[in-house]
Amino acid sequence: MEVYKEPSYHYTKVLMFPTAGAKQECSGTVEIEVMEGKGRLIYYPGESLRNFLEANPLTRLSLFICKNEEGPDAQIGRVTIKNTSEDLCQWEFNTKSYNKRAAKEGLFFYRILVAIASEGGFSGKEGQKVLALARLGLPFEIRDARVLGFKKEMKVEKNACAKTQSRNPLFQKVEPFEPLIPNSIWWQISVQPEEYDHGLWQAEYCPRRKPHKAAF
Amino acid sequence: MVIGEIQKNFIFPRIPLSFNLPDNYPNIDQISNISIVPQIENFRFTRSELEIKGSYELAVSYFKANKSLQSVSQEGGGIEGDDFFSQLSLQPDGLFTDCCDIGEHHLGELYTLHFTRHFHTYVDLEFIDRPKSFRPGLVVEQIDIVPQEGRFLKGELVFGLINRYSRRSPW
Repeated sequence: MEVYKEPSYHYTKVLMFPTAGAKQECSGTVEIEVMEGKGRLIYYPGESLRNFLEANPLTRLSLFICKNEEGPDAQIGRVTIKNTSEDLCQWEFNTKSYNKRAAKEGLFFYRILVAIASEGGFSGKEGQKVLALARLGLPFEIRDARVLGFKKEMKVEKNACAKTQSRNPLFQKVEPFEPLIPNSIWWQISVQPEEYDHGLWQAEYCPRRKPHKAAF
Repeated sequence: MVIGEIQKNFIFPRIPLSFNLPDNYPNIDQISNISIVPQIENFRFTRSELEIKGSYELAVSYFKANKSLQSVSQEGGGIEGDDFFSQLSLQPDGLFTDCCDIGEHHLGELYTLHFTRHFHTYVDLEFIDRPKSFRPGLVVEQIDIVPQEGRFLKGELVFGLINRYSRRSPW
């Protein structure tokens, strides 16, 4: 029995066809690329659709990605179609359950529609006019990328030394007072303790001498 | 996450495609969607080039050519052919709605063909910056397939080469 390794890259090009008028003309293409579980869908409007957008600048045209069923839950994603050449009409999604044997067991079917939509999204019935449509089967399931799982609470790990030192006042560090003067670094370099006071500057008596602000 | 920002090291030369339909499949009217899944089986670096062996699976879905429907739409014509009420459907609440808005029934049956082809290519090392940290991956640059005479598929496929080495966020 061979071990099936899920392919890391999947590419699909879908041609959208108009629902009315000349059925032969392709009214746009959708490119779907999936790499290691994350996917991206780009819609390139065709000639007739671009002319439609130019002629009707006030119309809100959207691309809907739906499951192949009716009802309010069918819609998975929605992208607004703009007529600019800089802005790609794209949508990102996650995939799950890639199934190579899907050819026999059944692919996951989706519909991609271009429709003039009201604010509420696509429900398949009144108020929306479908301009172009495509249906495709994919061996994996599509989920909107915006749906995030629960994030684990990240605990900020403090310095381990801080934990081992208890709150005993004998072990608490005493921070030396350092005034915020502009050339405080210069002061620290220039005013150094001299070695004549031999006993005074031993480590035990002195507060923390760690040169944490050493200039070099 | 934009795949266009991934730097493609190298664009492979176009691969011409031509497929015959098996006999038990109906004629093609329109191609609906094309899927390509490339798989790299193994690769190795030699002194002057990178050798890649693998295969790609192509799946083409199309609508079958339905000659009877075409002849009906060409009639147009007289009053008998123009049935105003056929475009409306009676809803349960007694109102008529224009069922032309819902275009689902315009799509026909999708037929799917799968083809698998092997490839074995060599890429000159000048296109690859650091061979030690390079794991080749193939992405599709361009794919075009047109049906010819309803029974043949002709097209071309262009692959691009990317580096898959330790990629945590794929785009």
